[in-house]
Formats: sequence, structure tokens, C-alpha cells
Amino acid sequence: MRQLAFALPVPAPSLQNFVPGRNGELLHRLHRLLDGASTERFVYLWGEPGCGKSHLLAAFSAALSQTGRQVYVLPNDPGIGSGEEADYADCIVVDDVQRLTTAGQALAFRLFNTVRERDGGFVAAGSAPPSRLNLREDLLTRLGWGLCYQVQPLTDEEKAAALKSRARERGFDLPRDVVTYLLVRQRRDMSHLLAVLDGLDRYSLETKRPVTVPLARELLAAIGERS
Amino acid sequence: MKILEIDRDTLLRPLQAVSGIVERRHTLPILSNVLIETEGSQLRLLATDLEIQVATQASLDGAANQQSVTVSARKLQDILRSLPEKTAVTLDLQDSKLALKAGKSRFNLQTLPAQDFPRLSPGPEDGVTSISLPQKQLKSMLQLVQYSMAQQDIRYYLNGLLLVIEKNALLMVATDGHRLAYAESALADGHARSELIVPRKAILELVKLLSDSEAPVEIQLQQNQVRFRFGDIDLVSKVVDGKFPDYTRVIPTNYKKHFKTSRLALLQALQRAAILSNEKFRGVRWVLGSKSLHIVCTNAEQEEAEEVMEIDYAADAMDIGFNITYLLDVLNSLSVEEVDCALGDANSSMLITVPGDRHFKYVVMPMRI
Repeated sequence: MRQLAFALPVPAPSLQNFVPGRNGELLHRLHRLLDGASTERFVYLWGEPGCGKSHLLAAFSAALSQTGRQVYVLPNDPGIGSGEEADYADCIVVDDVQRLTTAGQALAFRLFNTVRERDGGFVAAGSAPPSRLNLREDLLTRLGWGLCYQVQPLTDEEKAAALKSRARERGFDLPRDVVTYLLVRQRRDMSHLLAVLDGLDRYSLETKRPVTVPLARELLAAIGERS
Repeated sequence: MKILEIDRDTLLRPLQAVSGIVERRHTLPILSNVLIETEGSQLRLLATDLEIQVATQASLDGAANQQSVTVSARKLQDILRSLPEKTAVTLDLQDSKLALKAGKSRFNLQTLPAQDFPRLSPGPEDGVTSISLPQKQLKSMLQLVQYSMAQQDIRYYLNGLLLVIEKNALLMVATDGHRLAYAESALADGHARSELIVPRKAILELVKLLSDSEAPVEIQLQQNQVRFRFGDIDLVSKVVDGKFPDYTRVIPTNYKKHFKTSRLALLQALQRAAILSNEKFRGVRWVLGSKSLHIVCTNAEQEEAEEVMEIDYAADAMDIGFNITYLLDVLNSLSVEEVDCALGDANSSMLITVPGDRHFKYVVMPMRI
């Protein structure tokens, strides 16, 4: 028997809740871009899975929308007719460029050119630097035109701090021993760790038990059996 | 030095009002005590646990000396309670001991200095929203929602009750993550929007202390605390830090499947079925079919209870589980004739409302059985 719980709102990725680690300069750049203080309008981020690319793109898009500017997030596999509203956007955002389909690449290339003519921005992220991506050449050149940053993964200490602060945003304290347990027993990229935190939050709410090492062990064992 | 001469009941009643919040064990010994102050013909009593403070007063027949002392709230209350009604009691302060005399009984109690007694500082006067409503109205609203508050949840904001003042309405919301209760009622005047989370303990104390009368209670919402003044009682509580979840997202608005039924008939059927529900999980199955509701409980010993109710249900058949305690709680707290149960699917919440009344809503998440 399993009592289900309400889906309590989860804090969205923001530039404030991104633990910068060694990415201070990149974060600074994004803030300047937001303030309109930067002359650079094209940014490309790359790095290993779970290093924070998607968080940064989502946070940047949200922050830009809040300033009243139009943001268009390009899907990897756009359907027919998509991208029309993008012609009026102030900024185009593309995550996981390596997954763009042929149609997606064509649209990304077209949107890059229109947004450039309109003095807008183009912010994208991918798994590797443009030179090592397997995409159409003209798009790769465009991606390489602006600032190119490698997003550095967090150290274990920084990951611990990030997990604790995310838990606090959800309204509870994540004990130190639980953090240590997760870092030792789990895949250590942040997207996985945050998904585990999400699971712990939900499981603790469903069972009305505090988040402890035994609770984490129980949940992870249950997930292990299911998969 | 004599502090006061008083009738047992005149002292016991206000003492019981303030001592409900006194913790049995506390790291700070003085918090087990009650502060007793006399001035003119006024007797003032005050107790606190550093989060909540309750003060009350009573009028004395004659004038008393200006005195203040603190003494164990529980012991004083136990002594007074065990004395016969209407006994005349005198309190004398001798050095650091309080001598209580009544008829042929005599008690010497340890005291702690009144100046050491902690008090919650009165909040800043500006930015205060103040409302007034009949005690009866506040009490019945609290009773409609208080049982849904969480108890010792790691998310502090759930261990309390959200109080919202919006225009001329007072809203209350409580949730433990499994169910949510919402109550609304009209206020005489309009106000700017203001909200805060009142801790669980303060809410439970308020329900005990409020009377079922038309006499007013004044609520002051301050920056970090909330104050309730009614009768001779002045209750101040710190508020819970944190952001209460957006309850409007939890309350469904688009459910099509629903039925109306007698609250009492449903309550009684559930109470009978609950006898054979699993003691740990408290699960109950609802099997909804055309015009019928089967309520099924089974326990670890493979025993089974089944209740069948005729209802006005006409939507698709459905099989859904709930924690039976959550259903009993809401049906017990209501006093109306009929309730309306609205459903989505077996993995979504159920919405319980009162037909023709939009002031109360209860949302409960199902259980997978």
C-alpha cells in the first residue's frame, strides 16, 4: 500500500540557485547579457552530462522572460510550422544541440540568422565544443561565433552545498550524512543527484518520515528492484 | 509578604487558560513556571514556551499589593484542582518560597525571580493588519481545517495553518501533504492582503481557549508574530518561517465524476468498515459503480468488511483506495447534512465539498492498494 502525496511545487532552476563553483566568469557573463550590458549576443556552453548546462539555459530563459523580452526555446525535433513565433523573439535558446534533427538544424540555422539581423541573442548548449559536434557545417560555424564556455563540473564539496541548498528551497534540511551517503553510493552528476533529492523529498512526504540515511537506503533499494 | 487572597476557582480558571502551553520538560527551568502579577485589583497570569505566550487577567475583589513571582504552573494547578471548590486560598511570598494556604492545607513552593521570566517582545505597531470576528466563527473555521496540519514534518511550513486575509475574507488552509483542508469566511470590513503561517501548537491551544460565543476575537497579523485577543486572554505566537505551498494548484476544479450523499450515512458506514481496516496502513477501497458505492476494508488477518451504499453516481466505474482516517476526519469535522465527492482517476485526489457552499473544500490523495 502506498499513500500518494500532493505534488508540492518544486523550486525552478534560477541563476540564484546555481552553485557557480568554477563557473563564476560564465555566470557573470550571463548576468551581463541579461542586463543588456554585454556586446556579445551569442553564447555557447558545453560540458559533460550533469554539469549544469540545462540549468543555466532554463534559468537564463526564465530571467530574460521576466525582463519582458521574448524567449523562444527551440525543440530538438521541431514539428512542421514550429518556429514561426520565433521570428519575433529577442533571444533563441537551444539545449542539447547535438540532438537536433536535420529539420531542427535547419531551423536553428535560419533562426540564428534572423535573430542576428534583429540584434537579438542566441544561447545554446551541447555535449562538446562546436568543432567536435556532428552537425551541419554552417550551423557549427555560427555556434562558434560568440563566446564559448566549458561548464566545469562541481567538486564534491560544491555538490554537497548545492544539494543542501536545493533541499532548503524545498523547505527542509538535508543532513550531512545523507549527502555523504548519496555522494558515495550514487552516480555523482548533479542531474542524477537532484533527481534522487526529488525522490527523497517525495518519499519522505508520502511516508511522513524525515530524510535520513535509512530512508535513502530504503528508497534506493526499492528503485533498484524496480529497474 | 501576602500576594493575594483569592477564591480557588477565580485563580484556577485563568491558570488553566495559560498553562496549556507549558511544556513538561524544558531546558530552561523558568519556562515550567507561570508568572503571577498583582496590581491594584488586577491579577495577571502569563506563561510561555518562547514560541507562544498566553496572558490572562482576572479582577480581584479587593486591592492587592503590587507583586510578581513565578512558580511551577503544573504544581500550582494540581494543588488548586485537588482543593474543594470555592475554597479560600492565600498566597504568601516568604523569602524565595511561595506559601499557599487553604483551610488546613499548606504548601511551600519554590519560586524563580519574576524579572528573569522571558516575554515575547511586542511587535512593531506599523504594518499590522487587524481583524475582528466572533469567537464562534473563528473556532468553527479552525475546527474545519486544523486536523489536516502536519505533525513534526521536516518541512516546517506544513506544521501549521496558513491564515490569509484577502479583501473581506478570511481564509485558512492546512495540509500534511496527503490531504488539504480549506475554509473561508466573510469579514465585516475589507483589508489589504496579508498572510502568515500559525504554528500547530498555537492553533490547538486556540481551539481549546476560544468560546462558542458571539464575543469578538481580535487577530493582529504582524511581521513575525500573530496576536489573538479575546475575553481576558491575550495569545501571542511567533509565525512559521517558510513559504506555504500554493493551495490553489492542489484544489481540483475540473472533476466530472461525482456524487452527493448523506454525510452521516457515509461516516457511519466508514466507521463500521474501519473496524477491520489494516491498523498500519488504514486503507479503504471504494468501488464505484452505477448508483452504488462499495466500501471494502481488509486487515492483516485476512478479515474483511464490506458496506454498500446507494448513491447518485452515474459516471464510469472506478476503483480507488484511501486512508480511511483522512475520510473519517473530514466527515467528523463537518456538521452538514450532505457532502459531495468529486473524483478524477484512481491516481488523482478526491475533492469533498458541501453542496451549495463554496466556503469549505477538502482534497485527499488516494492510496494505491
